[in-house]
Amino acid sequence: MVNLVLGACIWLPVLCLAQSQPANIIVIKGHQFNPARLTVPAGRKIQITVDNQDPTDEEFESYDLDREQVVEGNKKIIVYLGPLKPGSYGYWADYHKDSKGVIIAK
Amino acid sequence: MLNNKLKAAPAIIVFFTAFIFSHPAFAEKLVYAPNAEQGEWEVENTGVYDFDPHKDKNAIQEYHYSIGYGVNSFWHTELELEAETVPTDDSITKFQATHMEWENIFQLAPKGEYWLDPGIYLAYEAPLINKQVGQFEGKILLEKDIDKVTNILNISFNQEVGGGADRHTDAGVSWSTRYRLYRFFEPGFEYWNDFSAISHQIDYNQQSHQAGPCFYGRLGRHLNYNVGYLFGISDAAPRGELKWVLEYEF
Repeated sequence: MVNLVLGACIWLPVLCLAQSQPANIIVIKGHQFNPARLTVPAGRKIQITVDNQDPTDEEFESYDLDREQVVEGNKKIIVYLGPLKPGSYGYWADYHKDSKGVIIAK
Repeated sequence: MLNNKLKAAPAIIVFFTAFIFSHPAFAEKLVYAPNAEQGEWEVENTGVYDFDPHKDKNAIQEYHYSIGYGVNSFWHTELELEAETVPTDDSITKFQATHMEWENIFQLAPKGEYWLDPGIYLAYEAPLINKQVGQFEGKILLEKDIDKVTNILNISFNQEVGGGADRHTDAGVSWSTRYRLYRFFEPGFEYWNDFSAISHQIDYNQQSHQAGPCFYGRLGRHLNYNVGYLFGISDAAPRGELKWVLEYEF
């Protein structure tokens, strides 16, 4: 019983925190980002899951956000951002430079 | 992707060779970010050139030539050759390779997950000259982005090993702040100190303290630079020091 209470004390806040995070997902397929324009809340920390559904590696890169993270083929990464000021933040695929996207913080 | 990297090989060889045989070249006075980039190779050249009215502290040069690789998203490893010159009464002594170093950077958390981005740096420096000693070096790497300002703190510990080694552990701190103005030009400053042995408290002026403006940036897709001039702000430090870093990523 004590273990159950302790477990609840530990996991409930974590679950609540997880619940409060809206799902921000960017899919890479055919070397393109989808959605290419993602809106996220400004002024708080956010997580974006980058899901690479291509068999080849890709790099999520953004000078505005100061991020460079490799996403292996058929794998996912989490990009931790913020708190962001309201505005738009460009990003691109470093291995396929013509593939670009933007994150809008509101 | 591998083919693209192989195509870049001749350019890298030219780059590396050019800096090995041109002087003053680059030396390693680098504030390390706690980042590892998976699958990324880098060829790096860093250096310092000291200016001081005292002959024994003037024209001291130190150069590092290295090749590194991001093994995975949390481990970057690097092999490095260190070379240096020191002044004598009559002229500069010959330029010679003094150490071979194996460096490792461990990124302890994804960037942005915590309030501070943490990392660890571990290195062993093996002597190439009989009279030199080896050295273990550890650093705590911390980074904090505040909007467009990137701040990095390194806390360093050095321990010599081998015959004739100093038993005392040295400590030092280096700090870098830069404003991400443009990708090709980011102004900032650095502060460096060497507290000397932890167990022996010495006067401020016996410790080396340096600070000055630095500029960072990326030229084209692959070339990163960092150049700065550090002013000596304690007696033990040289009056001035030119420092630079060139890094080719592929």
